Amino acid sequence: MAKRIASISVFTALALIFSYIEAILPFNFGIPGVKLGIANIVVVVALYQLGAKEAIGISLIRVFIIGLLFGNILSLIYSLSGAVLSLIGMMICKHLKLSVIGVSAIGGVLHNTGQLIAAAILLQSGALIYYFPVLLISGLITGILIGIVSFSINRVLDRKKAV
Amino acid sequence: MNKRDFIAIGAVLILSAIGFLFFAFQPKGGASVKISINSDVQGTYPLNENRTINIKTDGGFNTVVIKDGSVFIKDADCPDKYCVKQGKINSGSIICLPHRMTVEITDQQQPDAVAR
Amino acid sequence: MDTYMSLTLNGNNPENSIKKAEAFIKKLDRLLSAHDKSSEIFKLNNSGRKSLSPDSLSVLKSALKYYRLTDGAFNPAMLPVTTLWGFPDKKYRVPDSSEVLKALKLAKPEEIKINGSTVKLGVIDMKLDLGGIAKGYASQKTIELLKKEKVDSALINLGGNIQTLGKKPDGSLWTVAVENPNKNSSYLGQLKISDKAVITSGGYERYFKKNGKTYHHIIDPENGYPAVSGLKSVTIISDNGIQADALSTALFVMGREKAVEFWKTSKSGFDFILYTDNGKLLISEGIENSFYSDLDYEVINE
Repeated sequence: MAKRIASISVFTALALIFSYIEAILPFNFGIPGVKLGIANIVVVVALYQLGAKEAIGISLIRVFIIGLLFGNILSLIYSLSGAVLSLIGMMICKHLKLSVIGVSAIGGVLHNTGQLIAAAILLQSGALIYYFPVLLISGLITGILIGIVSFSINRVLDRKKAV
Repeated sequence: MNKRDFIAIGAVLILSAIGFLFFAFQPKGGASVKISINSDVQGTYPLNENRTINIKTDGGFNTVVIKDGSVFIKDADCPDKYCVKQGKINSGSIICLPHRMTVEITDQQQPDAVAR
Repeated sequence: MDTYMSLTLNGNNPENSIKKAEAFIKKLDRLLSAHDKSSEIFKLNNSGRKSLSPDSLSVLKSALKYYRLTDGAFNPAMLPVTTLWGFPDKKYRVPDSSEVLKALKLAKPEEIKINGSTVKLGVIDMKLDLGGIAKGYASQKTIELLKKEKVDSALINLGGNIQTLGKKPDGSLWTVAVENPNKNSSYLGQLKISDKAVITSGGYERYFKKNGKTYHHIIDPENGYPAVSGLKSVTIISDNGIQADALSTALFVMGREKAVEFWKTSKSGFDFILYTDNGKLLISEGIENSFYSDLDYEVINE
């Protein structure tokens, strides 16, 4: 139990650090809403190493703390919508026996989709739909990248467990 | 990676391709620039007339410039300035989330005349 | 007509038709200007009695007709009052109330006597200004002229007074936007029309500011001061440009309630778009299906 709590704490701290790095060093692609989202590596790895409940916890804590530290209510709502939709999607995909890369790719896509839906509701504007194809592709690419990294990390961690 | 991964990734690719094609075939001619805050239309301006529009909201300001058939946000005091970074567009839209402003290019027809 | 004009038309001999129409509009302008020293109206104002050409006479008769129909809300003899305010020559000032009262006594169109082609202004120093109807008359008569020329499609724009003939050359309806007084370049809405005149009057067109107060150019014939009617602009849509021009001014002076009442009782085949000081948009039911707007509007039924 204690080991579990310690793991969750370390994962959460790592997610926060990654978010912080991205906040001060944004990998800007010039398209609003498109970013690498390296904190999601932690969430994806947590999903495999710790389990679904733990991944949800880590993700939500990260979103709230980052929202409080660097954002405002609006950015919190966007992140939250993205995080929740992405988590649900990833859990389903994992259940459907997709690999880490597939799970993470769908997670990236749904992360962007969730934010877009939140923004569309807040702005009461359909204008955002023009971004949808762009955000699909960018979510897919960042998701696959994060999936590859998570795959490597999982392999290392699994090997250590086995030893 | 397995077969299911490729199916999932392929599905997303097809979906976005459909999206791109859909917008590519949207009419662009005779376009207008529609500026809204939340969903309230602040004004509609012809895309083919150069002008600068200053939009002030409770959140701050955005300077919208229509020039040579494109529209861009020249300046804004929102924290992320994504709207400014997005640069010139001649279709689609520019969004400033912090100010809840949308600048949208619509195919609303330009009038033949204006009664004034 | 101290303003611009533009003509778009389609016919058998468009260049010739445009030339004729342009010449006709310029001729009317020369006849009707209250400020051009060589115009018939200027001469009539100076001498108090003059024989007028058929066109001038016809404009005057129309003006008097709308003076009666609108119960004086449209008054073609307000020149002495508008001159006090400095609107004709742009030398703006706020006159004393005694000056206004004195000038208002000259604005009595019912004292105009017409005998054949001879017009007599029945009050000494009475002065006519047909500017409130001249553009509508010009576009109406130009449309009639173009019809005789077998032109089947035309749009006349006389300084923002719009009149259309038929549909566009491609068979679609004309799109006429109505300016939004609040923002120079955005519209109150757009009308899809054929064979209609669309004429807007509003205090926002011409005004001056003095000591923080705004004085606009539409003077209420009742009291000689800029009309305070709760309306920002009035647009009239009508088959007849003369009616549209005269009534846009008259309904602006009347204000919302009286204007709606006037529309209900007159049944003379026109529609309106009223834009109030507090940003409300009202349209009459006849244009419900041809009016498009991003703004909310209320439809007034008969």
